[in-house]
Amino acid sequence: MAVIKALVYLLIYPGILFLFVYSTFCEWFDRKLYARLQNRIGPAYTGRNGILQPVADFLKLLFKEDIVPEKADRIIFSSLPVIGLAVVVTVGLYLPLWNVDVSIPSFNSFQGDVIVVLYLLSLPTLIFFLAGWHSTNFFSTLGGVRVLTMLFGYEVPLFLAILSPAIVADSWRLAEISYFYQKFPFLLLFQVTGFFVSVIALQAKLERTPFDIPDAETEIVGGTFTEYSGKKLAFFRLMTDIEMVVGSGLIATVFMAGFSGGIVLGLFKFVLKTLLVIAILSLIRAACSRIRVDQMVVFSWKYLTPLAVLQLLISIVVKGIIQ
Amino acid sequence: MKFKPAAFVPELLRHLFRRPATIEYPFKKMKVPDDFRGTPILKPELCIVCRACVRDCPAFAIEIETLSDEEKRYKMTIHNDRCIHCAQCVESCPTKALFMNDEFEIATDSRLKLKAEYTYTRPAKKSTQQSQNG
Repeated sequence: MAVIKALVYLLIYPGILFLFVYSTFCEWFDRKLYARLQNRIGPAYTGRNGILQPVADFLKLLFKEDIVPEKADRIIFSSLPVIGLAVVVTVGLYLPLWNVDVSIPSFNSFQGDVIVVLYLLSLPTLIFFLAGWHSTNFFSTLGGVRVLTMLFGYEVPLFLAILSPAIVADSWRLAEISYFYQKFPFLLLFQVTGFFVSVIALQAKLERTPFDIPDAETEIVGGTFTEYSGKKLAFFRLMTDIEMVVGSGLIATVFMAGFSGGIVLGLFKFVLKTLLVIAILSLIRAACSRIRVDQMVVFSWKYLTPLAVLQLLISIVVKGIIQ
Repeated sequence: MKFKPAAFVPELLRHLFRRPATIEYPFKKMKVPDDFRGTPILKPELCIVCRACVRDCPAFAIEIETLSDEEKRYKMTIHNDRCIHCAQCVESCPTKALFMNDEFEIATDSRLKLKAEYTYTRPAKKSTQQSQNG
Protein backbone atom coordinates (compact mmCIF):
# COMPACT_ATOMS: atom_id res chain seq x y z
CA MET A 1 0.00 0.00 0.00
CA ALA A 2 2.77 2.41 0.93
CA VAL A 3 4.51 1.63 -2.35
CA ILE A 4 1.37 2.39 -4.35
CA LYS A 5 0.91 5.60 -2.40
CA ALA A 6 4.49 6.63 -3.06
CA LEU A 7 4.10 5.78 -6.74
CA VAL A 8 0.94 7.88 -6.93
CA TYR A 9 2.80 10.76 -5.29
CA LEU A 10 5.72 10.44 -7.68
CA LEU A 11 3.94 9.77 -10.92
CA ILE A 12 0.52 11.39 -10.65
CA TYR A 13 0.02 13.98 -7.92
CA PRO A 14 2.03 16.09 -7.20
CA GLY A 15 4.57 14.25 -9.31
CA ILE A 16 5.32 14.33 -12.97
CA LEU A 17 1.84 14.01 -14.52
CA PHE A 18 0.33 16.83 -12.48
CA LEU A 19 3.38 19.00 -13.04
CA PHE A 20 3.29 18.34 -16.79
CA VAL A 21 -0.40 19.22 -17.08
CA TYR A 22 -0.20 22.21 -14.79
CA SER A 23 3.04 23.58 -16.26
CA THR A 24 1.63 23.44 -19.80
CA PHE A 25 -1.46 25.21 -18.50
CA CYS A 26 0.78 27.82 -16.87
CA GLU A 27 2.70 28.30 -20.10
CA TRP A 28 -0.59 28.85 -21.90
CA PHE A 29 -1.70 31.30 -19.21
CA ASP A 30 1.60 33.14 -19.43
CA ARG A 31 1.54 33.32 -23.22
CA LYS A 32 -2.10 34.36 -23.34
CA LEU A 33 -1.67 37.06 -20.72
CA TYR A 34 1.54 38.26 -22.36
CA ALA A 35 -0.28 38.49 -25.69
CA ARG A 36 -3.25 40.35 -24.20
CA LEU A 37 -0.91 42.80 -22.47
CA GLN A 38 0.62 43.47 -25.89
CA ASN A 39 -2.81 43.87 -27.50
CA ARG A 40 -2.58 40.55 -29.36
CA ILE A 41 -4.74 37.41 -29.23
CA GLY A 42 -2.13 34.81 -28.33
CA PRO A 43 -2.60 31.06 -28.83
CA ALA A 44 -6.09 30.56 -30.23
CA TYR A 45 -6.28 27.46 -32.38
CA THR A 46 -5.37 24.24 -30.54
CA GLY A 47 -8.05 23.37 -28.04
CA ARG A 48 -10.44 25.87 -26.55
CA ASN A 49 -8.78 29.30 -26.73
CA GLY A 50 -5.51 27.57 -27.61
CA ILE A 51 -5.24 25.92 -24.20
CA LEU A 52 -3.53 22.85 -25.70
CA GLN A 53 -0.96 24.87 -27.66
CA PRO A 54 1.95 24.18 -25.23
CA VAL A 55 1.15 20.44 -25.36
CA ALA A 56 1.02 20.60 -29.15
CA ASP A 57 4.38 22.43 -29.22
CA PHE A 58 5.86 19.79 -26.91
CA LEU A 59 4.58 16.90 -29.06
CA LYS A 60 5.74 18.62 -32.24
CA LEU A 61 9.26 18.97 -30.82
CA LEU A 62 9.23 15.31 -29.75
CA PHE A 63 8.75 14.23 -33.37
CA LYS A 64 11.37 16.57 -34.80
CA GLU A 65 14.82 15.46 -35.86
CA ASP A 66 17.25 15.22 -32.99
CA ILE A 67 20.77 16.36 -33.82
CA VAL A 68 23.86 15.95 -31.65
CA PRO A 69 26.87 18.03 -32.73
CA GLU A 70 29.80 15.97 -33.94
CA LYS A 71 32.31 17.39 -31.49
CA ALA A 72 29.94 17.44 -28.50
CA ASP A 73 30.22 14.95 -25.67
CA ARG A 74 27.35 12.71 -26.63
CA ILE A 75 26.51 11.30 -23.19
CA ILE A 76 26.52 14.60 -21.29
CA PHE A 77 24.83 16.45 -24.13
CA SER A 78 21.96 13.94 -24.20
CA SER A 79 21.60 13.38 -20.48
CA LEU A 80 21.48 17.05 -19.41
CA PRO A 81 17.83 17.69 -20.40
CA VAL A 82 16.68 14.56 -18.56
CA ILE A 83 18.67 15.42 -15.44
CA GLY A 84 17.32 18.95 -15.49
CA LEU A 85 13.77 17.71 -15.82
CA ALA A 86 14.30 15.25 -12.96
CA VAL A 87 15.72 18.02 -10.76
CA VAL A 88 12.80 20.40 -11.19
CA VAL A 89 10.22 17.62 -10.81
CA THR A 90 11.93 16.65 -7.55
CA VAL A 91 11.45 20.22 -6.32
CA GLY A 92 7.73 19.73 -6.94
CA LEU A 93 7.71 16.93 -4.37
CA TYR A 94 9.05 19.18 -1.62
CA LEU A 95 6.37 21.83 -1.93
CA PRO A 96 3.81 21.35 0.87
CA LEU A 97 1.17 20.84 -1.76
CA TRP A 98 -1.14 18.26 -0.27
CA ASN A 99 -2.03 18.51 3.38
CA VAL A 100 1.32 17.83 5.06
CA ASP A 101 0.84 17.30 8.75
CA VAL A 102 3.15 19.83 10.39
CA SER A 103 3.77 17.58 13.41
CA ILE A 104 5.08 14.62 11.39
CA PRO A 105 8.33 15.03 9.42
CA SER A 106 8.37 12.82 6.32
CA PHE A 107 10.51 12.17 3.28
CA ASN A 108 9.26 15.31 1.62
CA SER A 109 8.87 17.60 4.60
CA PHE A 110 11.68 17.98 7.12
CA GLN A 111 13.72 20.66 8.82
CA GLY A 112 15.84 22.28 6.12
CA ASP A 113 13.77 21.40 3.08
CA VAL A 114 13.66 25.09 2.10
CA ILE A 115 17.44 24.93 1.64
CA VAL A 116 17.11 21.73 -0.37
CA VAL A 117 14.52 23.36 -2.61
CA LEU A 118 16.66 26.47 -3.12
CA TYR A 119 19.70 24.37 -4.02
CA LEU A 120 17.71 22.13 -6.33
CA LEU A 121 16.40 25.29 -7.99
CA SER A 122 19.94 26.51 -8.63
CA LEU A 123 20.89 23.23 -10.33
CA PRO A 124 19.01 24.08 -13.59
CA THR A 125 21.30 27.08 -13.96
CA LEU A 126 24.33 24.80 -13.76
CA ILE A 127 22.66 22.48 -16.25
CA PHE A 128 22.10 25.35 -18.66
CA PHE A 129 25.78 26.27 -18.32
CA LEU A 130 26.90 22.68 -18.94
CA ALA A 131 24.50 22.42 -21.88
CA GLY A 132 25.99 25.54 -23.40
CA TRP A 133 29.54 24.45 -22.70
CA HIS A 134 29.17 20.92 -24.07
CA SER A 135 27.49 22.08 -27.26
CA THR A 136 30.97 23.22 -28.44
CA ASN A 137 29.34 26.04 -30.31
CA PHE A 138 30.51 29.62 -29.99
CA PHE A 139 27.02 30.96 -29.34
CA SER A 140 26.22 28.21 -26.84
CA THR A 141 29.46 28.78 -24.95
CA LEU A 142 28.75 32.50 -24.79
CA GLY A 143 25.24 31.72 -23.53
CA GLY A 144 26.64 29.36 -20.91
CA VAL A 145 29.07 32.00 -19.67
CA ARG A 146 26.25 34.51 -19.46
CA VAL A 147 24.17 32.00 -17.47
CA LEU A 148 26.92 31.78 -14.87
CA THR A 149 27.51 35.56 -14.83
CA MET A 150 23.82 36.09 -14.15
CA LEU A 151 23.81 33.39 -11.48
CA PHE A 152 26.13 35.51 -9.34
CA GLY A 153 23.72 38.40 -9.72
CA TYR A 154 20.37 36.95 -8.73
CA GLU A 155 21.17 33.96 -6.53
CA VAL A 156 22.20 35.95 -3.43
CA PRO A 157 19.11 38.21 -3.32
CA LEU A 158 16.87 35.20 -4.00
CA PHE A 159 18.36 33.22 -1.10
CA LEU A 160 18.22 36.20 1.28
CA ALA A 161 14.65 37.05 0.29
CA ILE A 162 13.37 33.48 0.60
CA LEU A 163 15.13 32.89 3.91
CA SER A 164 13.88 36.00 5.71
CA PRO A 165 10.30 34.69 6.18
CA ALA A 166 11.90 31.52 7.49
CA ILE A 167 13.76 33.57 10.10
CA VAL A 168 10.52 35.13 11.34
CA ALA A 169 8.79 31.75 11.38
CA ASP A 170 11.78 30.26 13.20
CA SER A 171 11.82 27.17 11.00
CA TRP A 172 13.67 25.79 7.99
CA ARG A 173 10.73 23.65 6.97
CA LEU A 174 8.35 24.84 4.24
CA ALA A 175 5.27 23.28 5.81
CA GLU A 176 6.01 24.96 9.15
CA ILE A 177 6.73 28.33 7.54
CA SER A 178 3.41 28.31 5.70
CA TYR A 179 1.63 27.05 8.85
CA PHE A 180 3.17 29.91 10.84
CA TYR A 181 1.90 32.51 8.37
CA GLN A 182 -1.54 30.90 8.30
CA LYS A 183 -1.68 31.58 12.05
CA PHE A 184 -0.27 35.12 11.79
CA PRO A 185 -1.17 36.42 8.31
CA PHE A 186 -0.51 40.07 9.21
CA LEU A 187 3.21 39.28 9.55
CA LEU A 188 3.28 38.78 5.76
CA LEU A 189 2.91 42.56 5.40
CA PHE A 190 6.52 42.88 6.56
CA GLN A 191 7.67 40.55 3.78
CA VAL A 192 6.44 42.59 0.80
CA THR A 193 9.94 43.76 -0.17
CA GLY A 194 11.24 40.22 -0.06
CA PHE A 195 8.32 39.05 -2.19
CA PHE A 196 9.13 41.48 -4.98
CA VAL A 197 12.86 40.80 -4.76
CA SER A 198 12.27 37.07 -5.06
CA VAL A 199 9.81 37.50 -7.95
CA ILE A 200 12.41 39.53 -9.88
CA ALA A 201 15.11 37.00 -9.01
CA LEU A 202 12.82 34.19 -10.18
CA GLN A 203 12.32 36.06 -13.44
CA ALA A 204 16.11 36.13 -13.82
CA LYS A 205 16.39 32.46 -12.89
CA LEU A 206 13.83 31.53 -15.54
CA GLU A 207 15.75 33.64 -18.08
CA ARG A 208 12.71 35.60 -19.18
CA THR A 209 12.72 39.18 -20.44
CA PRO A 210 14.38 41.47 -19.26
CA PHE A 211 16.85 38.80 -18.14
CA ASP A 212 16.76 36.59 -21.24
CA ILE A 213 20.41 37.44 -21.77
CA PRO A 214 21.73 33.81 -22.06
CA ASP A 215 19.34 32.86 -24.88
CA ALA A 216 19.07 36.23 -26.59
CA GLU A 217 18.02 35.23 -30.11
CA THR A 218 18.90 38.57 -31.63
CA GLU A 219 22.46 38.55 -30.33
CA ILE A 220 23.67 35.00 -29.83
CA VAL A 221 21.14 33.03 -31.93
CA GLY A 222 19.69 30.75 -29.25
CA GLY A 223 22.43 30.99 -26.66
CA THR A 224 22.51 27.87 -24.54
CA PHE A 225 19.97 26.08 -26.73
CA THR A 226 21.55 26.81 -30.11
CA GLU A 227 22.55 23.20 -30.75
CA TYR A 228 19.57 21.60 -29.06
CA SER A 229 16.71 20.30 -31.15
CA GLY A 230 13.92 17.74 -31.10
CA LYS A 231 13.30 15.75 -27.92
CA LYS A 232 16.09 17.40 -25.97
CA LEU A 233 14.82 20.89 -26.67
CA ALA A 234 11.30 19.73 -25.76
CA PHE A 235 12.60 18.47 -22.41
CA PHE A 236 14.44 21.74 -21.81
CA ARG A 237 11.30 23.73 -22.54
CA LEU A 238 9.22 21.50 -20.28
CA MET A 239 11.92 21.89 -17.64
CA THR A 240 11.69 25.69 -17.83
CA ASP A 241 7.89 25.50 -17.55
CA ILE A 242 8.02 23.22 -14.52
CA GLU A 243 10.72 25.42 -13.01
CA MET A 244 8.34 28.36 -13.40
CA VAL A 245 5.60 26.41 -11.61
CA VAL A 246 7.76 25.19 -8.74
CA GLY A 247 9.52 28.54 -8.39
CA SER A 248 6.23 30.39 -8.11
CA GLY A 249 5.00 27.58 -5.87
CA LEU A 250 7.97 28.18 -3.56
CA ILE A 251 7.26 31.92 -3.47
CA ALA A 252 3.58 31.20 -2.80
CA THR A 253 4.52 28.82 0.03
CA VAL A 254 6.91 31.22 1.70
CA PHE A 255 5.27 34.60 1.07
CA MET A 256 1.58 33.75 0.65
CA ALA A 257 0.95 31.38 3.55
CA GLY A 258 0.97 28.15 1.57
CA PHE A 259 -1.84 25.86 0.57
CA SER A 260 -3.83 24.73 3.58
CA GLY A 261 -7.09 22.81 3.65
CA GLY A 262 -6.66 19.33 2.22
CA ILE A 263 -6.20 18.12 -1.33
CA VAL A 264 -9.02 19.94 -3.12
CA LEU A 265 -8.88 23.31 -1.34
CA GLY A 266 -5.07 23.10 -1.19
CA LEU A 267 -4.88 22.50 -4.93
CA PHE A 268 -7.27 25.39 -5.54
CA LYS A 269 -5.11 27.70 -3.41
CA PHE A 270 -1.97 26.43 -5.15
CA VAL A 271 -3.41 27.21 -8.58
CA LEU A 272 -4.66 30.63 -7.50
CA LYS A 273 -1.44 31.71 -5.82
CA THR A 274 0.96 30.39 -8.46
CA LEU A 275 -1.13 32.00 -11.20
CA LEU A 276 -0.89 35.30 -9.34
CA VAL A 277 2.90 35.02 -9.22
CA ILE A 278 3.00 34.00 -12.90
CA ALA A 279 0.81 36.98 -13.77
CA ILE A 280 3.36 39.30 -12.14
CA LEU A 281 6.13 37.51 -14.05
CA SER A 282 4.21 38.04 -17.31
CA LEU A 283 3.69 41.70 -16.52
CA ILE A 284 7.43 42.13 -15.96
CA ARG A 285 8.09 40.28 -19.21
CA ALA A 286 5.72 42.53 -21.13
CA ALA A 287 6.92 45.76 -19.54
CA CYS A 288 10.65 45.37 -20.06
CA SER A 289 13.05 44.83 -22.89
CA ARG A 290 16.29 42.89 -22.58
CA ILE A 291 19.12 44.51 -20.63
CA ARG A 292 22.81 43.82 -21.03
CA VAL A 293 24.52 41.29 -18.80
CA ASP A 294 26.60 43.96 -17.04
CA GLN A 295 23.48 46.06 -16.42
CA MET A 296 21.82 42.98 -14.97
CA VAL A 297 24.66 42.31 -12.54
CA VAL A 298 24.84 45.99 -11.57
CA PHE A 299 21.06 46.03 -11.04
CA SER A 300 21.21 42.94 -8.82
CA TRP A 301 24.06 44.15 -6.66
CA LYS A 302 23.02 47.81 -6.49
CA TYR A 303 19.29 47.44 -5.95
CA LEU A 304 18.16 43.83 -5.48
CA THR A 305 20.72 42.70 -2.90
CA PRO A 306 20.43 45.82 -0.68
CA LEU A 307 16.65 45.39 -0.76
CA ALA A 308 17.02 41.75 0.25
CA VAL A 309 19.39 42.72 3.08
CA LEU A 310 16.87 45.38 4.16
CA GLN A 311 14.22 42.65 4.18
CA LEU A 312 16.51 40.52 6.34
CA LEU A 313 16.91 43.42 8.80
CA ILE A 314 13.14 43.96 8.91
CA SER A 315 12.65 40.25 9.57
CA ILE A 316 15.16 40.26 12.42
CA VAL A 317 13.52 43.33 13.98
CA VAL A 318 10.04 41.80 13.60
CA LYS A 319 11.24 38.59 15.16
CA GLY A 320 12.74 40.52 18.09
CA ILE A 321 9.43 42.33 18.65
CA ILE A 322 7.19 39.25 18.49
CA GLN A 323 9.43 37.35 20.86
CA MET B 1 21.14 53.75 -14.69
CA LYS B 2 18.26 55.10 -16.77
CA PHE B 3 15.88 52.18 -16.44
CA LYS B 4 12.20 52.94 -16.09
CA PRO B 5 10.49 49.58 -16.42
CA ALA B 6 7.18 50.72 -14.98
CA ALA B 7 6.65 53.39 -17.65
CA PHE B 8 4.63 51.05 -19.87
CA VAL B 9 2.66 49.27 -17.16
CA PRO B 10 -0.50 51.48 -17.25
CA GLU B 11 -0.64 51.13 -21.03
CA LEU B 12 -0.17 47.35 -20.78
CA LEU B 13 -2.94 47.02 -18.22
CA ARG B 14 -5.24 49.11 -20.41
CA HIS B 15 -4.72 46.61 -23.22
CA LEU B 16 -6.18 43.86 -21.06
CA PHE B 17 -9.62 45.43 -21.32
CA ARG B 18 -9.39 46.43 -24.94
CA ARG B 19 -10.28 44.47 -28.05
CA PRO B 20 -7.12 42.87 -29.53
CA ALA B 21 -5.59 44.73 -32.44
CA THR B 22 -4.93 41.47 -34.28
CA ILE B 23 -7.37 38.94 -35.73
CA GLU B 24 -7.33 35.15 -36.06
CA TYR B 25 -5.85 35.51 -39.50
CA PRO B 26 -6.34 32.31 -41.48
CA PHE B 27 -9.89 31.97 -40.17
CA LYS B 28 -10.93 35.61 -40.25
CA LYS B 29 -9.59 38.00 -42.83
CA MET B 30 -9.33 41.73 -42.79
CA LYS B 31 -11.07 43.75 -45.52
CA VAL B 32 -8.54 44.95 -48.05
CA PRO B 33 -8.41 48.66 -49.01
CA ASP B 34 -10.73 49.78 -51.82
CA ASP B 35 -7.98 50.41 -54.37
CA PHE B 36 -6.07 47.21 -53.50
CA ARG B 37 -4.23 45.77 -56.51
CA GLY B 38 -4.64 42.00 -56.44
CA THR B 39 -4.72 39.72 -59.48
CA PRO B 40 -5.60 41.26 -62.88
CA ILE B 41 -8.81 39.75 -64.24
CA LEU B 42 -10.24 40.14 -67.76
CA LYS B 43 -13.87 40.64 -68.64
CA PRO B 44 -13.72 39.01 -72.12
CA GLU B 45 -17.01 40.49 -73.34
CA LEU B 46 -15.55 44.02 -73.10
CA CYS B 47 -12.14 43.38 -74.68
CA ILE B 48 -11.66 44.91 -78.12
CA VAL B 49 -8.17 43.39 -78.60
CA CYS B 50 -6.46 46.76 -78.95
CA ARG B 51 -3.38 45.24 -77.27
CA ALA B 52 -2.75 48.36 -75.20
CA CYS B 53 -2.31 46.21 -72.13
CA VAL B 54 0.24 43.97 -73.87
CA ARG B 55 2.21 47.02 -75.01
CA ASP B 56 2.12 48.82 -71.67
CA CYS B 57 2.75 45.94 -69.30
CA PRO B 58 6.24 46.58 -67.82
CA ALA B 59 6.61 42.93 -66.79
CA PHE B 60 5.46 41.41 -70.11
CA ALA B 61 2.83 39.48 -68.18
CA ILE B 62 0.03 39.70 -70.75
CA GLU B 63 -0.02 37.91 -74.09
CA ILE B 64 -2.73 37.92 -76.73
CA GLU B 65 -2.74 35.15 -79.32
CA THR B 66 -4.86 35.20 -82.45
CA LEU B 67 -6.67 31.89 -82.79
CA SER B 68 -8.70 32.70 -85.87
CA ASP B 69 -8.81 35.97 -87.80
CA GLU B 70 -12.09 35.23 -89.56
CA GLU B 71 -14.01 34.29 -86.44
CA LYS B 72 -12.18 37.00 -84.47
CA ARG B 73 -11.25 34.51 -81.78
CA TYR B 74 -8.42 35.46 -79.46
CA LYS B 75 -6.71 34.01 -76.43
CA MET B 76 -5.39 36.26 -73.68
CA THR B 77 -2.91 34.78 -71.18
CA ILE B 78 -2.26 36.69 -67.97
CA HIS B 79 0.92 35.43 -66.27
CA ASN B 80 0.26 36.31 -62.65
CA ASP B 81 3.69 34.97 -61.69
CA ARG B 82 5.32 37.69 -63.76
CA CYS B 83 2.80 40.36 -62.81
CA ILE B 84 4.15 43.11 -60.58
CA HIS B 85 0.63 44.29 -59.68
CA CYS B 86 1.19 47.83 -60.90
CA ALA B 87 -2.30 47.97 -62.49
CA GLN B 88 -0.91 49.71 -65.58
CA CYS B 89 -3.06 47.40 -67.74
CA VAL B 90 -6.17 48.58 -65.93
CA GLU B 91 -5.15 52.19 -66.56
CA SER B 92 -4.39 51.55 -70.21
CA CYS B 93 -7.51 49.58 -71.12
CA PRO B 94 -9.84 51.88 -73.09
CA THR B 95 -12.94 49.75 -72.45
CA LYS B 96 -12.28 48.94 -68.76
CA ALA B 97 -12.14 45.25 -69.61
CA LEU B 98 -9.41 44.62 -67.00
CA PHE B 99 -9.69 45.05 -63.26
CA MET B 100 -7.70 44.02 -60.19
CA ASN B 101 -9.51 41.79 -57.70
CA ASP B 102 -9.16 41.61 -53.89
CA GLU B 103 -7.20 38.35 -53.83
CA PHE B 104 -4.01 38.62 -51.77
CA GLU B 105 -3.24 34.99 -50.93
CA ILE B 106 -1.90 33.94 -54.33
CA ALA B 107 0.98 31.77 -53.16
CA THR B 108 1.06 28.31 -54.80
CA ASP B 109 3.52 25.47 -55.17
CA SER B 110 3.90 25.97 -58.92
CA ARG B 111 4.15 29.14 -60.96
CA LEU B 112 2.20 27.45 -63.76
CA LYS B 113 -0.89 27.50 -61.57
CA LEU B 114 -0.75 31.29 -61.60
CA LYS B 115 -1.40 31.44 -65.35
CA ALA B 116 -4.92 32.52 -66.34
CA GLU B 117 -6.17 31.97 -69.91
CA TYR B 118 -9.19 33.55 -71.54
CA THR B 119 -10.45 32.42 -74.95
CA TYR B 120 -13.08 34.70 -76.41
CA THR B 121 -14.56 36.15 -79.56
CA ARG B 122 -14.13 39.86 -80.02
CA PRO B 123 -17.52 41.55 -79.82
CA ALA B 124 -18.65 43.38 -82.93
CA LYS B 125 -18.22 46.62 -81.12
CA LYS B 126 -16.08 48.38 -83.70
CA SER B 127 -18.73 48.10 -86.32
CA THR B 128 -21.45 49.43 -84.05
CA GLN B 129 -19.17 52.26 -83.04
CA GLN B 130 -18.41 52.96 -86.64
CA SER B 131 -22.09 52.98 -87.53
CA GLN B 132 -22.79 55.27 -84.59
CA ASN B 133 -19.98 57.57 -85.63
CA GLY B 134 -20.88 57.39 -89.25
